[in-house]
Amino acid sequence: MSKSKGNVIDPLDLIEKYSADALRFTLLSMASPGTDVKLSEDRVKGYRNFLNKLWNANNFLITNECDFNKTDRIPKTTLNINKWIYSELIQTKDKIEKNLKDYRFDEAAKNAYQFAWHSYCDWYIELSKTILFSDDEKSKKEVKEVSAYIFKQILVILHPFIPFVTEKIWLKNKFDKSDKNFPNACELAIR
Amino acid sequence: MHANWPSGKAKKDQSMKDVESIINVISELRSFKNELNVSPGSFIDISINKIAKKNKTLMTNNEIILKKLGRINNFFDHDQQKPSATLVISGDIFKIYFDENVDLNLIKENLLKRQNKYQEEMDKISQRLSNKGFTDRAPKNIVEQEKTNYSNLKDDIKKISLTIESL
Repeated sequence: MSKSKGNVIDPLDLIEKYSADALRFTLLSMASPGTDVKLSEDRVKGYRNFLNKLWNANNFLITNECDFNKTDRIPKTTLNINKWIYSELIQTKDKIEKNLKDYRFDEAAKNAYQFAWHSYCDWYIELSKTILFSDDEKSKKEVKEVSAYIFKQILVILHPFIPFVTEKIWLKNKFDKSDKNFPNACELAIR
Repeated sequence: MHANWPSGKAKKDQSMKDVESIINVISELRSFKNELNVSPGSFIDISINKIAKKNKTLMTNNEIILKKLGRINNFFDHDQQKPSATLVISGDIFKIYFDENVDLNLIKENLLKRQNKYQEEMDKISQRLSNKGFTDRAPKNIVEQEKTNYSNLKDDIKKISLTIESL
C-alpha cells in the first residue's frame, strides 16, 4: 500500500463492509513470518464467505433438529463417517496446538479453516445427508448428536480467530447451558 | 463463551480409510468431468468390472452415497457396449459412460486444440531458453520461471494425451 499511489485500503471500510471477523481472519491467515501481507478486498470477501458458510452450517443443523443438548462429550460413534470426522477433528486440534506453540498463527488459522469448510461442511454434512434423509432412526440420532458435537468443537477452535461470529452462534445454540466442564465465574470466586 | 479446548485421541482404522476412499472416488469423478468440460451436474453410469474385489464391496456398500454425491445413475458389473472413457483411481480402472447428449468426439477435438495450443507455447519457451543471449542477460528468476512454465506445460500435455487415449 502506498499513500502517494493512492491504493491504501482503510481497515474501517473493510470492517463496515465485511465485518471485523472477516478482516481479522484474513490478516491472521496471510501473516506468514518474514513476508509482507498483500492485502486485497477479494481476500476479505473470501473469508466473509467462510463466516457465511459457518452460519449456514448452523442453520442446517437447526433445520435438521440436531441435538445441541448432548454436546458435553463425544457421543458413541458406530458409523464410519462419524468416526472419520472425529478423527479429523483430533488431527486438526493437534496441528493447531503445534502451530500456536510455534507462533505460526497463519498456519493455525488455515488448519481451522480447512477443517471447518472442507472436512465438515463440504464432506461430512454432504455425506450425512444420505443418513439424515433416510428412515434409519438409530443412525439419524447418532448423526444428529455427532454433527452438533463436532460443530461445537469447531466454534471452540475458531473462537480465538473469529470471536464475534462464534460467540453469536454459541449463544444462539445455548451451548453454555450444556457445558458443565468449565467452572463459571461465581464458582471460581467461591473457591 | 466458556469451553474447554478439545481433547481426546483418535486411532485411524479401516472405517476411516473407507470414508477417505469414497471421498477420493467422488473427487476424482468431479475432476474428470471438469477436465473433459462436461457439466458437473450431469449424471453418468459406471462399470466397476475391472476394480479390485475389496473395493468393489466398498462401492456396493456405499452405493447410495456414491450415487448421490458422484451423480451416478447406474453401477454395472460388466462393461457396456457403448462409448466410454476410462478413469484410473488409486490403481482401479473405472469405465465411465456419459449422458447421450455428451459428444465424446467434440470433447476429443477440444482437448486436441488445447494440446496444440500448449505445444505452441512450449515451443516458444524452448526457443527463448535455447537463446544464449536471453539466458545470459535476463534476471535469474525470470529464466527459472520460464523453465518452470516449460515443465508445467509438458505435464499438462502429458495429462491431456492420457485423457484423449482414455476416450
